[in-house]
Parts: sequence; C-alpha cells; structure tokens
Amino acid sequence: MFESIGFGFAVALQPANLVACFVGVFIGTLIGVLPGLGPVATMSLLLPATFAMSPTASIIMMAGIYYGAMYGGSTTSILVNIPGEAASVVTCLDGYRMARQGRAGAALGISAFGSFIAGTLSVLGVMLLAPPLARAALGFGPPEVFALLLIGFTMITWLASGSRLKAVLMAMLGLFLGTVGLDPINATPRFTFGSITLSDGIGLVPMIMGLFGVAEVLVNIEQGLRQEVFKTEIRGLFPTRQDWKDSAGPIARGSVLGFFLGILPGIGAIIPTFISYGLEKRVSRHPERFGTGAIEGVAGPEAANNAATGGSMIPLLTLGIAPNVVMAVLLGAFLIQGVQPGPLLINEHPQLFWGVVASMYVGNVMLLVLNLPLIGLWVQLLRVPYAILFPLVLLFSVIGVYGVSGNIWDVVIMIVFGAVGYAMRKLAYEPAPLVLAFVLGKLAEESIRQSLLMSRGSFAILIDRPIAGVLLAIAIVIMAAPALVRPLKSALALTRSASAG
Amino acid sequence: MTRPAAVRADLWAAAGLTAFGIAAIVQARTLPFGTITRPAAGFFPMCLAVALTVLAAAVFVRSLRQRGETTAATAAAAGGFARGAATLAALLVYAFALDAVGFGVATFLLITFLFRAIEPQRWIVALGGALLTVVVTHVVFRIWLGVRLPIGPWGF
Repeated sequence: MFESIGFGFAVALQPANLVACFVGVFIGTLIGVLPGLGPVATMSLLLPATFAMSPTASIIMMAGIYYGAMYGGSTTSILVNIPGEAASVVTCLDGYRMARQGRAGAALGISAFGSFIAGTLSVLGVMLLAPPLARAALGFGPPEVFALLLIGFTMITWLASGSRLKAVLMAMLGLFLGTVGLDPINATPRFTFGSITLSDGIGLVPMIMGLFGVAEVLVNIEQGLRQEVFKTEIRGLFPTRQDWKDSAGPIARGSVLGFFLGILPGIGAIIPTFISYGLEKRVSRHPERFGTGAIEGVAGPEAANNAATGGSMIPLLTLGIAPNVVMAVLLGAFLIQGVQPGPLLINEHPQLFWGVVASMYVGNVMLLVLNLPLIGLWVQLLRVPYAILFPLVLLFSVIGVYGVSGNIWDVVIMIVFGAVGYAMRKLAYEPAPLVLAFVLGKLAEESIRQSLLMSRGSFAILIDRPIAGVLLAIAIVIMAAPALVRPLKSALALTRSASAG
Repeated sequence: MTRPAAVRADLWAAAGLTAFGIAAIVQARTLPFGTITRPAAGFFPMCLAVALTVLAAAVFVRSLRQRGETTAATAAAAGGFARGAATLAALLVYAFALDAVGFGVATFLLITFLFRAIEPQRWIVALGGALLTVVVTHVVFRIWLGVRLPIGPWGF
C-alpha cells in the first residue's frame, strides 16, 4: 500500500502532471467562483484540450476542475449570496450572514481549511477503499452490474428535490435517448432516421452542454442576473481558536458523511451538504444560531461537498460506473484516452490510478495555498458584469462541442438540448436524472440482455446469484422506503399527540 | 374553470411527453423485438417507450387534478423570454454559418449581436469585445490547444 502511494506521488509530482493539476484546480476555482458555469459544462468544454495530453495528465486536470470548483463555489456564496456552484447553496445561509457581520474572512478561511481537511481525508479513504473494492468487483458479472445500476436508478429518482414522478419520467426519457444509435449487441441502427451523426448515438457532451450550460445562460438572461458583491474588508482569514473549536466537529462529521454518501450512485456533492447542515443543526446546543451566521453552518457543508468529490471517484475507478453527472464527463475523458475505468484499472494502469489519487492530495494543498492569497482576485472577478460573461460562456460551449467531434450537427443537438433544458427548468423537470440515466442506460441494456441470455430468459438470475440478490434487495428497499417511512412517521406523530393529550 | 398558467404549462408538457412516448412505441415496433430468452434490438427501447408513455400519462392526469398548486415556475416576463429566444436563434444561425464563413467571421458577428441586442452595450464595447474575443479564442483554442475550428474562404 505505502509503496503504491509513494509511486502515486512520484507520478503526480512529475512536472507535466503538476502543471495539469495546477491548471485543473485553478480553472475549477475560477468557474466555481463564477455563477452560471459549473464543473460539468467546464469539463465538457475542456475535453478537446485533453487530446494532446497523456491519459494521466488529462484525468488529473479534469478531477482538479471538479474539486477546485467546490472550493471556489463557497467564495461566491459567502460574498454575493449566490452559490457559485450548486454544491455551495447551503453555504449562503450562514456564510453570507457572517460576511454581513464583518466576518467574511473567518467564513472564507474556515471554508478553505475545512475543504482541505475533508479533501485530505477523502483521498485517504479512496486509497484505502478503492483497491479492495476493485478486487471484489472482479467477480461481478452482468446480473451484478444490472442490480448495481438498479440501485443507481432508484437513488437518482429517490433523491430528486422536486416531484419524484417527474424525476422517474426524466430518468426513463434519458434511458430511451440512450438507445438512439447502433444496438450494442447486434449493431442494428435504432432511431437514427438515416443520420450519420445519430448512428453514433446522441453525444454526451452536446447533451450536457445544452442542458447545463446553454439552459443556465438562458435562465440567467431571462431573469437579468445582477450580482452585488458585499462590500467588506476581508481580513482575518486564519480562523481563531474559538472558530476551530466550533468547527472541528462539523468538519469531521461533514468529511465522513460526504465521503460515504459520495460513493453512492446518484448522490453527487449537493445532497451531502444539506444533510450535513441538518445534522449540525440537530447536534448543536444552539440550533437557533443557524441561519444567523453560525460558523458550523459553513464548516460542515463545505467539508461534506469536498469529501463527496473523493467518494464519488470510487465507483468510477473501481467499477467503471459514473455515480453522478460530473463523473460521467470524467468517464468520457477516460474513454477519449482509450482507457476503460473499472476493476482492472489498478493493475493495468497503476500510474494513472495512483497518480490521480495522489494528485488529489497535491491539488488540495495547491487549493489551500491558492485560495487564501487570491481571494482579492476572485472578488474582482465577481464584479465582471454577466452581460459580458454570457456571450463568452455560450461561445466556449460551442467550441467545446465542436472541438470534440468537428461536427456542426453536434452543435445543433446542443442548442436543441439548451432549449429543452430551459423548458425543463421552467416546468420543474430535473436534468440530472435524465443525464445520469442516459449515461448508465447502455450498460444497463447490455447487462440485462446478457443476463437474460445467460439464464435463458429467467429474471431469477438476479436473485439466484448472492451478490446480485443483495444488491437487488437494497434497490427494492430504497424504492419502498418512502412508502414505509410515511406511515411510520404518521404513527409516531399520532403516538406523540396521544401521549401529550 | 380556468387553470393557472403554470398548471396549463405542466399539462402541455405532460401531453407533449405522452405524444413523444407514443411516437417512440410506433418507431420501436419497426425494430426486431426478439424473445425473452434472446432479446433483440427493439426489446429495451420498446419496454422504455411503454414505461415513458405510462409515466407521462400519469403526470398528465396528476396535472389535470391540480387546480392551483404546481412545482412548475410561472411564465417568464415577455422581455426575458424574447431575449432567450433571440439568443437561441442567433446560436442556431451561427452553427450553420460556421462552415460557410469560418470561425473568425461567424464568431465576430455572433458576439457583436449578443453584446448589442441581448444586454445592450455601447457599439465600441460590442465591436471591440467581439474582436478581442475572436483573437483570444483563436490563439488559445486553435493555436495553443490545437482545437479544430472551421476555416472560412478567407483562411480564418
């Protein structure tokens, strides 16, 4: 283990990989600071730039953008009360309040240190958990993979923030759109209508850039986004002893929570922040302080979102399954480089696996060093009007899509998905279940068809095999949970009111 | 009894998705379905198309029952919607113009339009900003990063 970690650091500290890591975390922080351009769109945009890079350097850079965005997002939440990145929504609640009380420095400081500690712990978690998981995954056949994907699908829809029915509908639409192109087993064209572009299937990059990049711009220009940076002198970035005392518990709990939730399919980095905030409020002796500028409300969620980025790398690196949309783009980066992530990755590409894991630690150090002195620069950046920024975001989206395929029709597909994404936001349909189901769909189809071939048409193969059976049972429990929890809650409420009466 | 605009929008969206699902079933029928022991190319799409239609119909029925409350956002302000539509139209024209006139000219025209028409800037800012954008993106993406961008009749 220690030998592998040492090897990883030797790879990560090579000049080219060090530069890739720096570029990744710098760009990540930048787009994290700027509202309206998230890590998904940025990573998609930069995919063509990775053609000329080595596989290790390109994945190091892409991963850096993801966890760098988590650091940057908190700056905008604290200073502008607009989340620079979706995973920093909760930080607005107490971070902005702290800024208004003249404690912007403390909020930014604890957010950076908390993120660093959580990032470091999550890297340790990846180092310890990924190799045994990859070994276990070697025994996975099509039924186990399908059962695991079922957990992913149920989690995606179960955790939807809006209507669950609409989320399931979007997941189904994503699965259906994933069938466009050549059939993965017989190569029969499906829904291509004679188009060469559609023969390859709908591209993930145009879909993501449309649904997340273009749609976000359309919503923002419709609302006329105006951002006002809170004018305050930022001082005292190093937390005081009392700040540390108040934040140590939330950082530790946020790290553990974020890491383990991040591993689960469909969770991503956003949900752990909400759970961490709720947990801190519950365990606090003064829950009434939350929402009025409590440092625990910043430290916990910021630790959780950074730890989740490390956790979400595990299913991708060990099983080859993208647990969230960002990891789907990272999977795309792997495939562009001709590397298939999965159980064999550690043995076949040890320099890539251990190099990327070690680079995440190096990147966290860079972010800490980068963020504290550059806060002033990020504040200046936040003063650039959105009217200047949005044409550039749209242009970069077009370049990103065209750069991957050199096909104008992919740009048209992006524009269509931009319009669809805009309509979805207006009608409260979430794009994440659609994209994630689209990504997992091909693997789901392959695995269920192969399972049925293996069992001569019997679905019992999903129960007969122990691992598949356990995974299927978990999926069923998750699916049934809302129906079980609701009567339990009302029964509890009834008992309480009866005993009170 | 008239329904609020947001509920009507919800209904139209669910109806559109139901229609999409039915069209998907019709198309999936043209593919070989196979058998349960040997599923063919149409097996998975047909199952998904049926599920999609049923779910969309369920959302439609639920929206019909709603009188006032919905999770859908209220309609956009007319000006805001026009800005979004103009931006999408400009992007579409830009996409088709790229191959014909090349990246440089098409991008200059797109950025000038977006700077002037969507969130109006002074002409000097619009033209200068567009020119600067073309030069910087050319250097960064085409020269440094080696991204293939369309070349027009004028060589840029």
